[in-house]
Formats: sequence, structure tokens, C-alpha cells
Amino acid sequence: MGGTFMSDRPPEWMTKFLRLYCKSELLDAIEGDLHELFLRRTKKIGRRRASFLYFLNTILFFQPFTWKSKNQSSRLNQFDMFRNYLKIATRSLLKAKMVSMINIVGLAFGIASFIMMMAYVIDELNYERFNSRADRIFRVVYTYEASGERRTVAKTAFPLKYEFLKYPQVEKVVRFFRNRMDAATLKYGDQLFTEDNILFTDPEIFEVFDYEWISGNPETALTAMNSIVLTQSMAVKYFGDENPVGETLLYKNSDQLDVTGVIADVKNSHIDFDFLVPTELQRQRWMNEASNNGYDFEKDWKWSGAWTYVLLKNGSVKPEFDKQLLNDGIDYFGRLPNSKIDYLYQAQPLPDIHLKSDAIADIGVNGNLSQVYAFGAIAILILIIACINFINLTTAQSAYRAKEIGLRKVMGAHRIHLIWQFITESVLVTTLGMGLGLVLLEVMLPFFNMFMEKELSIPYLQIPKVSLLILLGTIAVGFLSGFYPSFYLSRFKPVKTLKGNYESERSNVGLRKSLVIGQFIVSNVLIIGIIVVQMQLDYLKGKDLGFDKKQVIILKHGTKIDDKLDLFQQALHSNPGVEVVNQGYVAGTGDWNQSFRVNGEDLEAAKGMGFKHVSYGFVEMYDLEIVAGRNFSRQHITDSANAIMLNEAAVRNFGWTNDEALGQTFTYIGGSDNKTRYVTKVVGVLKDANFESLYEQVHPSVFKLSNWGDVAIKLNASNKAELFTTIESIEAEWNKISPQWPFEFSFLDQQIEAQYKKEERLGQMIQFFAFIAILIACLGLFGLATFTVQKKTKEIGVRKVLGASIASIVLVIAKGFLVLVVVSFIISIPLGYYLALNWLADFAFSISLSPFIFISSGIISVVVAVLAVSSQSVKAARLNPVKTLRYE
Amino acid sequence: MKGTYLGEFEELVLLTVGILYDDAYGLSITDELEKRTKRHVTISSVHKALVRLEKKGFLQSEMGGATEQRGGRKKKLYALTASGKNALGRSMELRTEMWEAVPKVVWEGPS
Repeated sequence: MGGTFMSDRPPEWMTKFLRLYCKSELLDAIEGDLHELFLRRTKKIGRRRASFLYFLNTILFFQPFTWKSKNQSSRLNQFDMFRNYLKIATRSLLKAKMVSMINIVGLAFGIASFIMMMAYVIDELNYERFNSRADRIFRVVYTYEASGERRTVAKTAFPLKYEFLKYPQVEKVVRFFRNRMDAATLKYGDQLFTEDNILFTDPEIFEVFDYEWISGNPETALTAMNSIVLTQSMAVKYFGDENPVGETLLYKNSDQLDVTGVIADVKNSHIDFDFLVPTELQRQRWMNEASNNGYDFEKDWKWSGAWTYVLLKNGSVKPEFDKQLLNDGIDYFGRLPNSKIDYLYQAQPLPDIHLKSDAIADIGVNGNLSQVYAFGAIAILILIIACINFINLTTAQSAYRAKEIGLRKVMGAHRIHLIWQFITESVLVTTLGMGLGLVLLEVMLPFFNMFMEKELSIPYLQIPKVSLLILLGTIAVGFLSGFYPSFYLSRFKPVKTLKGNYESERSNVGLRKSLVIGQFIVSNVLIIGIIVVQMQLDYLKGKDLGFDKKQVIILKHGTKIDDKLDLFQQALHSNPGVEVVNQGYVAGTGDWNQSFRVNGEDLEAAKGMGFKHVSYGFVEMYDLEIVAGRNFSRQHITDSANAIMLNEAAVRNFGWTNDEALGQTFTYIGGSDNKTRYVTKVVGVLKDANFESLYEQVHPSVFKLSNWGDVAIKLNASNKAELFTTIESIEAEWNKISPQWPFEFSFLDQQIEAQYKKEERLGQMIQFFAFIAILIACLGLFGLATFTVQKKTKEIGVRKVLGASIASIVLVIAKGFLVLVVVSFIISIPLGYYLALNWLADFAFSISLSPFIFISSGIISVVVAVLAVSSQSVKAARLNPVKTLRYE
Repeated sequence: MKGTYLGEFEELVLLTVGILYDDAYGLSITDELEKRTKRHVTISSVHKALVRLEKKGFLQSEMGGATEQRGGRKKKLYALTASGKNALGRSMELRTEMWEAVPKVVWEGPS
């Protein structure tokens, strides 16, 4: 049919559209008519408009009477076959309702926990990514080796900023500082709150970090000394709906701070704060304090007090910067030329800090990369467990499908068609599973957020990619779980299957067994995890720390009544509920690190030790044991100036015996201006007590009398009511002496327990996911048991007739499964042991892995498995043999 | 009786098939209808009516007459069936009856 020009024909794609929907009987007539019309119109009104009208017509014809009908047997195409697959899939799903339920519910749990975990993992991995310059921001930290221990410290000295600004690669330097020693209050009108998350920083902060501004000008926000920037939740807390910019807040009852900006709450950053205040404010406050001799931290090279972040000009200069930093840092930027200790300064990339930094004295509690990966792995394993259920149950019920497969083959189906058919089925099941899973996810997510203190949500619409990925993921899971069954089922020989009873092959049973073993290995390891984490937690909470932490309260604003402390103490002295009041170091908190030198030895022999300022009541308050020498005493007039006590760890550190230590003299440089030279003498040795967390060994420590620090009170109450009346009477005294500061306190034992929050969370997470993993695995086992029982109905009948008891029949059925569970238990022991050991290595004090842990985990899995299997087997065993054998 | 009911448009299409006799297909029917009724007629509505009328048994069709003009596509040629002719006749009769039932005064006006 040559001789037609392109211009004679209507645009091909429009015709294709017509052909797409139009049924074949009408196609020629319609296409021909439209073609004729088109040619006529082309002559009359031109090709363009004719084409448009042609297109309009193809749309107008899109009406039910032209549509291809459903039962058009003359045209076999992919779409029709697919529809058939779907229909058959739906039918077989409905036919085996229980199996479908198990598959769908299992997959739903698997998919829900997988998405949740992935949301968590992605959230953890995206820390600091909101900063557009994240790749150019680095934090300077240093590592040194002291008494055989390598330590990386997150804080550096304040004046270092000005050294870094001299480097050619550096564009900006921002420091952060938190005054942890002194709780602050903020006041607006009659709203007075104690705030412990105020961060001091440099005005350049907003040129380095990208915070989301709600109001205010980032360029000038912190340039004035008396300014403060609030996060949104804090703005609401103090000002409600008002715009706080332009208002003032009263800081520590003395400084009026102008609110210059409000920024959105910062998420996904290790730099966590509620308020930002210029460092200059703290500097001036300290310089103006009379007892400080004009202390200026901008000139203090001895105190590492600031977290220092540098913005490099571009990322490529990092190696040069590192090199210069390392070279200059070794002798502490020229200030310690003869030091024997090397200070290795380095730059941490900002995005790495949250998960990879293990520096001490960090801004907040950081995450743990291996934990994030572990969670990711658990998520994938749970999903795999759910897929295994599908594989096992589908291959197990293959006998029921054998005839269908045989017939399809006889009717001319190729193997590839059957493979597609079964994959369609599994994709259908996963899609249903996903639907249910997304509902589950919405239910579980709020609880998950509560446990993990996160604000995760799934941005289905905000980031369309997420929805797309979930969809693709579902299909992928469908393929994954449908892959093996489809290959297996499509292999059936039609002759065999149609001849009669088709027994599934032996090899397939073996595979099923090993998959069940795999499932239970995972569940078992998780159970071991639950037990280990829980036991370690109990151990940490219950461990004798070497001091008495009961009935001690710590006052938040104790430092504010410095000059009236004596008055306060006297007032409490007569209170029968108060045992002792102590000012100074509080157990459970970090301590200062101070360099001490034994008198007469050279500078390099100085040793860094924890320095704890205490008052006379310290030993009594924590019920400490003195192993040599004596306690501080008011009778010795010189004690207040130069007496110190050591703990046994410090004594060991110098290689002395306890008695040798007595009378040794030390010198150190310190004081509130960090310049005064002190000469001190050891008067006593304290038994080791673990004041710090149990992650670490007991610090070698020096205790010295001083009159500053937090105020703690040891109460003496025999019951709760008495405790509260005592606290009330203390509050009354407090309000008399210091009405402008709120009376706020915390219990020491609670504060110490809070240290292990991270472990508690981990424990809850593992519990949750172990529960899900076991649930899914048991669902699978339940399904398999049902099949076995169905297959063995007659066998059971015969056994009963021959006199078997119900118990013995249950045993026969359950035995096969129990063997699998026991095998997986045995395999999981070394795996669980290895993982538990790895985790416990983080703690200086940990439980030993007793066989009890593994035995109980084994008992749990066996019991759970028996429960899953027995209901079906008992049901089968109780059937009347007359019924089961009737047709024989 | 829904099956044999003849709508106005359907009646016109049926008549046009009669008029065109041996060249009644979608486009020619549309043209003829437009010419006679002086209304715009869309080709899809004509096809739709044709399919329905064939289903009702008023029309029969055969394929034929592929031309270069039609891009090599055959025409679907329609012809009236006996029941189609009957239906037209009945409709004509009905009208005549009803015409005659209208009193003369309606046409001529009260004198």
C-alpha cells in the first residue's frame, strides 16, 4: 500500500492511542472513517487543525461501546494473562485462608519493622546534613597518652581560636561552651525557670551553621554581649504566641538579655541547645567576679573548656590543615616546647561526630555506628524471616497446586509463564502485606519515637521518592520470596502430577528445614541479646559502687548561696532529718582533670588525675572508708589550705603503698584564676569508690577541701512521708535565705541510674524486635505444623486405633520441629556469645556470660516453638479415628 | 420494551442508512445527516448509534471498500434489516396516527 506521503496520514501516535482501546471489530471502520475525515479536513483547514480534530475524535471515541471486551478469546496478550494470574492468585489466597493470613501478617510485621528501622538508620546517618557547609566544617579535638591510656578530648582551650584564624585555610572559627558547673535561671515577667541547656557561642555561628530562622536577623543576632537566641519551643515556653524578638529575659537574676532571634528546634545535630548566648557574656561575668582576680579565659591556655569548630575555605585543603594542626599541636602551639607528652590535634569532619567520635567531654551523648548498623541488620533479618515463611509455606503446599501446574503445562504454558504466575502471586501477597504493614507502622511509630526519643515520621508525600521506594521495595520483596517457589513449582512434570498423588520431593523438605533453622537462629540470638542486656543493666544498677547513694539530694542552685551557705548549714543542723550537708563534687558527675607533681620531681613526671573539691562532710555523706591516715578535720587548721586525700587508684598510679602515700607533698597550678600555685600534703587514703560511670575504671583521684561547687544533702528518713516532710522543711529554710532562686533538687540515685538510659533503650529495642522476629518465625512454624498434621491425618488415625495416647502423637509431630529448634539453638550459642562479648567490652564492669543465659534462651525458644506447634498437633491427635479413616 | 425502542437520533440514522442504500457507512451517514438536519453531528455518536442499532437487529453490516483515502481501511457498510424497516414503518404509522388525532382547530386556529 505504498504511495502515501507522510502528510496524508494522521499522526501515528494518535492512531496508536485509538488502537490501544478500540476493539478489533470496530477498529477498521472507525480508523478508516477518521482517516477519510482527516484527509478531507487537511485540504480544507490545513494539517495542523485537522490533526487536532483527529485527536479530539480519537478521544471522543473512547466510550464503552468501543472498548475491548473482557472475554476476548481471540487476542491473547500479556495483559489478559496477567489478569488471569491475578484472578488465580486471589482464588488460591482465599482457598488457603490460614496460610495467606500467616504470610500477610508475617510480611506486614516484617515490612513495618523494616521501614521503621530504616527510618531510624537514615535519621542517624543524616546528622548535621542540614548544614550546607557540612563538608567544610571540622571540630578540632586532641589525643594524648597518659598513664598508658589514650584519650581523645573533644574540648580545647579558648585562645586556640585565634591561632586557627591565622591559618590560611581557615575561614571561620566558632566555639561552644556550656557552664555545667552552675545551673542558670531565666525569667520573663513571673515566668521563672531553671535552664540547663544554654550554650555559649561566638557571633559567627550563623555564618557557619545553617539554622532555620523564624524571626530575627542572623547577622547581628549575637554580636551584642547581652543578647540571646531561643529555639522555637523555648520561645513558646516563655512567650506563648507573642513574637519574643525585642523582649528581654533576666539571666541568673542579674543580666538583662535582649531576645534577638528565634530559630526552629534543632534536630539531627550533636550540637544540642535550647538557648544561645554570646561567650563574651560569660567572660565578662567571670572577669567581674571579685574572687577571680580578673580571670579571662580568652588568655587561658591551660583550660580546655570550649568545643571548637572551624570552617575551612574549601574541603580540599583538609589534608594541609591536618598537617599543620598536627605539627603545631605536638608542642601545644609552642607553649610546651619541652613536654614529654605529645598532643595530637586533629580535625573531625562534622558529619562523623555523631556516630564515629569517641571523644570524652562531648557536647551530648553521641550515637554509636555499630549499633546503627546492628539495627539495620536486624531489620533486614526480620524481613528475611518473613520471606522465609512465604517460601516455606508455598513450597509446602505445592502438592495442592501440582495438578493446576500440570494442567497449565498440558494446555501449553511454558515454564516462564508459570514462573510469572507464581511471582505475581507473591507480589500480590507482599502488596497486601505492605498495606497492612503501613497501618502497623503508623501504630508502632509513636511508641518507637517515645522509646528512642526521636521524632521520626515517614515522609510519604514530602519526599515522593520514599513512596516510590516503598513500592519498589514491596515488589522486590515479592520477587525475592516468590523466586524460589516459582522455580520450584514450575519444574513439576505434568505427567507425574496428573497421574495421581504427587508427593513433594525430598530435597525441598531439606531446604525448608534449613530455612526454619535460619529463622530460629536469628530469634535465638535476639533472645540471648535480651537476656544479656537486661542482666547487664540490672548489674549496673545494683552494683556496689563503693559509696552510699541513697537519700542524697542535690540542690540545683546550691552554688548561688555561696556567702550564705554557713547560715543555711546551721539552720539545717538542728533538723533531725538532715544527716550532713556537703558542698563540692557530687558523685555520678565528671570531675576536673588536673596535673599533679610530687614535690621535688621534675615537671615531666606530673600526672593527670581527677580533682574533686569537697567539704568536711564528704566522707560521711557517701559513707566512704578510710584505709590509711585520717579524714579532713576542722581541728587541723592547715587542712583547709593544703590537705588532700587520695584514693587507692591514685596511690597505685604512683606505685606507692597506702602508708607510703601519707605525708607526700604535691604541687599543682589552679585556683579560680588558674594561675595560683598550691602545695599540698596527703593526709589520708580513701578506699576506691566508683563515682564515675561503670563504663570506666575508678579514676585516680585527689580530694581537696574547698568551698565551692554543688550543694548536696544527705537525709535520714525511715519512710517516704518522713522524707517529704524533711524536704519541705529544707525548702522553707531555703526560701528564707535565698528567695530569688527556686528550690530545685534531684535524687542522686535517680541521677546515677539515668546514666544507663542508653542501655535501657537498647534493651527495649532488642526486646521489641526479638518479639517480632519470634512472632513471625512462630507463625511460620504454626503454618508448617498445620501442613504436617494435614498430611498425617491418616497416620494419626492408625496410631490411635493401635492404642497410641494423645501425648505420644503430639510428640511424634512436634519432634520434627523441636529437632530444628534445638539445632538452631546450638548454632546460635557461639554467635550470641561472640556478639554479647563484643557489646560487654564497652563496659569496665560487666557480667560474665554464664551458661544460664544460653540455657534459658534455649528453653524460651523451645517453649515458644512447642506452643506454636502443639495446638495443631493436639487438635489432630484428638480427632476421632473413625472420621479420619472412614474413606480408607 | 427497551430493546425495540427507537430514539429520535437513532431513527434519523436508520433513515439515513436507507437513503444512502449501498454506501452507508459511518462517515457518509454523518455527512448526510449534517446536510439534511443542518446540525453538527459528531462521528463518534453516529458510530455509537450504529453499533446499538445493529445490536437491536435493525441493521446488518458487512466489511468492504478499502481505499487509498481511508489509509487502506475497510468500510463497515450498513443495510436495513426487515425488523429495521418494520421499526421505521411503525414509527411512521404512529406519527401519522397521532397527526390525525390532533383536532383541526389546533392547526387552523379558532375561527
